[in-house]
Amino acid sequence: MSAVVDDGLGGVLMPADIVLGCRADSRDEAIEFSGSLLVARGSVSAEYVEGMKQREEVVSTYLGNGVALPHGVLESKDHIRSTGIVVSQYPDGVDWGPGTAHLVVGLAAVGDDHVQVLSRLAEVLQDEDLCGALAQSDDAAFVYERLTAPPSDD
Amino acid sequence: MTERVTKAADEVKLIVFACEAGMGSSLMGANQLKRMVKKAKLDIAVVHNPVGQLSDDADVVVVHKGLAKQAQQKAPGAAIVPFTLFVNDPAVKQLVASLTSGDPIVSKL
Repeated sequence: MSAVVDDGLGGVLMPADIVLGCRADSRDEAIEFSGSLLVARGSVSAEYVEGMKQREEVVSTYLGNGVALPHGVLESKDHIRSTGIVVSQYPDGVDWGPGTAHLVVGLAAVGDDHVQVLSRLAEVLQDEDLCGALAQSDDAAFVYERLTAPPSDD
Repeated sequence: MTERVTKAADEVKLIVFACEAGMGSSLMGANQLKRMVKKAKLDIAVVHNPVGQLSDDADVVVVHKGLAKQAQQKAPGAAIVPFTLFVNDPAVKQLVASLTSGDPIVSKL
């Protein structure tokens, strides 16, 4: 597999942003991990992670089919430096309130750079079998490829 | 007790999908709804917004039930459609079904 130079995604989701085989005992622990990945890639400052936890208390970001999309509350947007998406996979799942999350997609977004990846994610969400495969896969290239395939136009 | 906002199906030109930050969840929801609206060949715009930035130009506001009251305060003239599931919520399906068949949209609040 050759290195992806220009993925057309503006660098918001890179192969290095996908971490498989994670374990967490709680939703907050998983959010802290996603937050640390966003901090490490330079997308947010540490304060943003608190905003991500706050958001879950307002409305859960569990989307369905084992996918959660944690992101900060509106006021934590000040702590975003650049748009970034990080994916952590929990084969054993994390109790996310309304459901058990296996694919945790941490998001920090300014502007519209993230729209393409989220449009694709919306498609993935409709596909229960694919969500199940992504939850258990040990092939990061497969997960990256499925999450970044161009959205279909139907 | 005021009358619930009711919109005739052909009055609905703009649906706003609202969430807390307008960053992730509402974008996902709006995308799904756009797809459904397009599939049903309806001439209706679908946008997403933070609930705090709603304005009264929305005909219908689709919003998580936890934020529905706030949405109603911001957009008192809109029919509010609360949902609980970000994927395949029956209330959202019902909304598209009503718009397709020409039935009025009655605010749930």
